[in-house]
Amino acid sequence: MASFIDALTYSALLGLMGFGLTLIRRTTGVWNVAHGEVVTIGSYVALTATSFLAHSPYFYLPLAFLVCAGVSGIIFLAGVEPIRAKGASSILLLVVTIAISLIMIAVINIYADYLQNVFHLSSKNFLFARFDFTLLGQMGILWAAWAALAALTISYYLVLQHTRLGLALRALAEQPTLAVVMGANVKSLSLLSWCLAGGAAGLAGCLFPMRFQCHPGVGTSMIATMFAVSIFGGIEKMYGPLLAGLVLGFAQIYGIDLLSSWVGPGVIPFKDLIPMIVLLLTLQFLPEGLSGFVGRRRG
Amino acid sequence: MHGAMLEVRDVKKSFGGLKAVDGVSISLPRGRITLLIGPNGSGKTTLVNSITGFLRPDSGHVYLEDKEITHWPMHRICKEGMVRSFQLPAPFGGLSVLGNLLVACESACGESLLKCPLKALWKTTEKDNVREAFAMAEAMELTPYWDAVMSETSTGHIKLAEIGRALLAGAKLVILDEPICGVDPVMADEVFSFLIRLRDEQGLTFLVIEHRLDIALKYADYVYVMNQGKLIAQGSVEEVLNDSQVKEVYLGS
Amino acid sequence: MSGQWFLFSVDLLALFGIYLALNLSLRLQLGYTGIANFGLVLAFTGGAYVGGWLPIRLGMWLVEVDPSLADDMIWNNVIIASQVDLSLHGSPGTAMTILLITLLAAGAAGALLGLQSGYPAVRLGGDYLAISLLAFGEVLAIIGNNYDPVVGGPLGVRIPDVWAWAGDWRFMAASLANCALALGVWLYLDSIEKSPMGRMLRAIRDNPDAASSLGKNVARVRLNVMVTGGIICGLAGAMYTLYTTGVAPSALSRFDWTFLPWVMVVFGGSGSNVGVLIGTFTFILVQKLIISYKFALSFLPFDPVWLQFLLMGLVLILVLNFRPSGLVTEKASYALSRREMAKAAGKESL
Repeated sequence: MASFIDALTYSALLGLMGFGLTLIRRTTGVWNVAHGEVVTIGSYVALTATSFLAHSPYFYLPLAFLVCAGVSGIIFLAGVEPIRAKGASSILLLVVTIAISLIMIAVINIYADYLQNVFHLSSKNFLFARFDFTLLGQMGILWAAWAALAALTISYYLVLQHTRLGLALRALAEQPTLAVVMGANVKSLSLLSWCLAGGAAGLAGCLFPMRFQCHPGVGTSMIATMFAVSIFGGIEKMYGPLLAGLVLGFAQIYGIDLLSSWVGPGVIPFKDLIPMIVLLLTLQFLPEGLSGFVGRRRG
Repeated sequence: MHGAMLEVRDVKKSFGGLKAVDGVSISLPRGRITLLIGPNGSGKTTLVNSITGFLRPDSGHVYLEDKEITHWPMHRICKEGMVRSFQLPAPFGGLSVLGNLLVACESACGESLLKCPLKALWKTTEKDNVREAFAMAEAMELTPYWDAVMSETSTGHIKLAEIGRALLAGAKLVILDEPICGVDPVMADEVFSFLIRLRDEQGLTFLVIEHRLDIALKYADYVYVMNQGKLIAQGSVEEVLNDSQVKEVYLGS
Repeated sequence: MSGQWFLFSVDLLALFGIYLALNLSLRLQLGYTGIANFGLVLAFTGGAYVGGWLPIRLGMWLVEVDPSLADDMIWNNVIIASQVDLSLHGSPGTAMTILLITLLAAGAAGALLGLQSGYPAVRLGGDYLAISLLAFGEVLAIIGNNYDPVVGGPLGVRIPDVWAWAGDWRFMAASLANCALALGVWLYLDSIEKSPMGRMLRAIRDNPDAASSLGKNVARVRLNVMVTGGIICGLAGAMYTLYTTGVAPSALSRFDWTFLPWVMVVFGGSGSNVGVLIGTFTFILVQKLIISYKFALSFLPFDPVWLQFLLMGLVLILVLNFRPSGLVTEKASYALSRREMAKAAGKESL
């Protein structure tokens, strides 16, 4: 049962992380490798705020959202957009985000070293499980993670649908050429989507240490898994990451738990292979991803 | 019809719910320039893509000199003597004009990762290829630009070099998708006179998609007209121009 | 020259050779063929694992070692390696036999990994191919870190020193051997440049559809290039392991063996051997200097090693902004010399 709940929590966090990757890819055609570091920054916002200002990390979710939205926006404006404007290929843009990711790895680690050396915080390895509350017999993180993911996906679909800005953003995400024809301001819409993506990553990062160990490389080490969520979910629809997060989260935690009870505990360390295998199988056999497949079946 | 250069039978291709090509049959006689026209979105390019192995047709058959080539990949179709060009200019931008022409020449040893370090294996072939490529450049009046980087030359030169490439690849049938798109009128006439010369001197067969009917119709031996994925007329230039359906499609009357 | 500087230069040379070979493999794939291989670490790791697994077993078989030690190769790893070392000290022949067989196996492993990751990937376009290869790159690391029998888990194993016979010149010999590998790859790429192969690869890079319409089997050629690239990476991985006499899966990171080579190649220019050489040398030198002068920066409240990441990211951004083709740009060349071409075309001169 414990692993079932863990899987459910992990799924929501994966969904939050994949949401941003998918949105950025849809609207601007970039696979953002630096997205992993944006997640890490979310975790460090939580660490910093709870260490210096007290309160529960949940209290700082809006702060993490704003900081990471800002960081992601700056990545877009300062790093990606100038090179994209020159008509760079998708590969070159991928390299740009790798460069940004290197810079962010450096900054995050320098910051973590600084917290540790100057303030003697345990900044290289932290977990906030002790701050968590319980609701209906379950850890609060479960509810919080799903609330965040659901709020994001639903607001994306419902609230944005009823505003002009939202309509333009959806047009850019779902029919990029149409958005241009509509005369939408593509640059500010792209910026908005990067900010929204960063915000989602910030929420995931802020919530992550409530249940899972965090360290300076936490987002970096999960980037390949995030790609798996985004591609397996399908980049055509914004509910893709939610679907894929569920499947992969369960496979990686609950599935491997079941498997180990059959074939022995030796399989547990290989749980990280699952997203890779799923990613490769998706690219090979289901290139439009889960949501694309579901959408196609419907008509 | 036996003995045709290319025989296309009832080819269909749809994208989602859209029937881009809906059961088209055409036949290209040897040594003729056949024109394929129709309004935007009538399915001309999709038809060519389905014939040449760029797309997989949903159904139908394609025969090149009575040999079935349906579903073959493009590179294999090329070896059988059918080469196509693309609607948008498709230069090998990093190579020179001569380099573009040389790519089309075959060099079995020179293009093998294992054998290419041994110059003796491919030197003779390469000399022949260089001779042929220069002759082609000469014939197309590209000689002055032979060493220019392709991405920096004009659209007209790129289009000419693309035809040259197709010929050097050993094409008996050349399919050209808008060969004079974006080319100035003088150059456009030059392109077509070059096709006429190739038809008369070497007996080559051409299928040409073109929008600029004012220029293209002057040179066509036979015309097919497509609209909304279907063939609506065929015949000589005059027959087609007098066809009521064609008039309706083009003039809206 | 003081001993410290000598060691610094020799280690620099050794790393330079390894990275140059690896980077030229990337140039073959990216610069010539347009394959964005973000999984270089895969074949490199494969070669390194072969280097960690095979020599010690070959050593046990070729020289006299207590056979009971073989019961647990990982537990007894250090004892076996030092016993084999003792014998190899006096027999360069045996050592070189081990080296050659290991290289053959590592090349084969690299080829297999190139084929295996390339087969599904070559049909994908652009950045999807890149992401797919990035994912492939992680696979061996996960296995090596978690499955001890390969090379002992995250902390790795020690292997016999095939250069032990060179005595005091051991590091020099190993470094030169690494550079010899790089030189071989360099010459190979140079011969591709001066043959019809170079222009065909560039044609496939510039416009795969047009190349395919002219009879080039694009998927096959890409796959062959990935296999060749894999062989080179595998050889580099094995040479690196033999140089350091050990392999630790946790040290074979995506950063060091995929991203760093990309930074070097993009910086120097993927269209030219000289560019790749400049890029490689610059970054190896910077990395070595930062590590060597770490102590001088100890007043900083953080580990100076992160400055290297910062520097690389910034340099890469600058290059992509102001010189996207790298420091040295590609020059179109011909398989034949101008004189040969003029003669073939029947002209006086060109």
